[in-house]
Amino acid sequence: MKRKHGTIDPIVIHLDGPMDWKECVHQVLEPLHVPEEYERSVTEQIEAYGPYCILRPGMALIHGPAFPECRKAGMTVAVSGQPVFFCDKPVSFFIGLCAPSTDQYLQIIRYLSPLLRDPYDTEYLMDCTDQELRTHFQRISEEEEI
Amino acid sequence: MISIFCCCGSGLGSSLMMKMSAEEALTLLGITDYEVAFGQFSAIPYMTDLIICSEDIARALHTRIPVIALQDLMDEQELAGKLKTHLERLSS
Repeated sequence: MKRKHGTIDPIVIHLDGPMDWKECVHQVLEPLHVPEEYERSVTEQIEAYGPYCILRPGMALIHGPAFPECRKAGMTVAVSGQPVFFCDKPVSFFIGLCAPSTDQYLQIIRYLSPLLRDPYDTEYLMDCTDQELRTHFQRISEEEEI
Repeated sequence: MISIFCCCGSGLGSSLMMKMSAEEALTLLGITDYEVAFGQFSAIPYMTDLIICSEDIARALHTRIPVIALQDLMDEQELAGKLKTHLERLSS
């Protein structure tokens, strides 16, 4: 049985100025209007386990657990002109995610994963225009059927 | 059959991505007899033969199970190389 998944329209933002990683997490998640508890859970996990959110050099996935209070799934794509340091690791490209259920979360990750593999590395994605980034990550919504 | 567990802090995002990388890497190596699970690093299944995680999570683990720590969680080549080394060590 198949049904269409909800559409994800990625929000592309640019992070300005020097900032610490906590401020960065806040700015990446802010457009998704997530509850404070969600953002707090993200920062607490990074504080506890280190920058496990870094997927590859220069790129991080800012996300927490599935959160029912997040009314719908959402995604930001954030580009920083200056690298933000998570511990000693510089990061300039961020994907922010939230989803109300584990199933939705996992579905998004399955479609997102190939969009972050070679040749779509940090350098490639940093060179994209905002529209190119939107088009690239909108593939998540186009192919969703479960 | 080799039982692999990919783990991260939340058990949702990067651990699933590593599972997908691991399955690609195992295919590259021609290995078919495996199972790959994913989740939080605090919930490693009992019969796991090998753990795959980021370098940061690897530092937080206290386990006797062999660990492959990745610099790039999305790079199947890095993972295939480390898997190959690990499996050769096991068979020697």
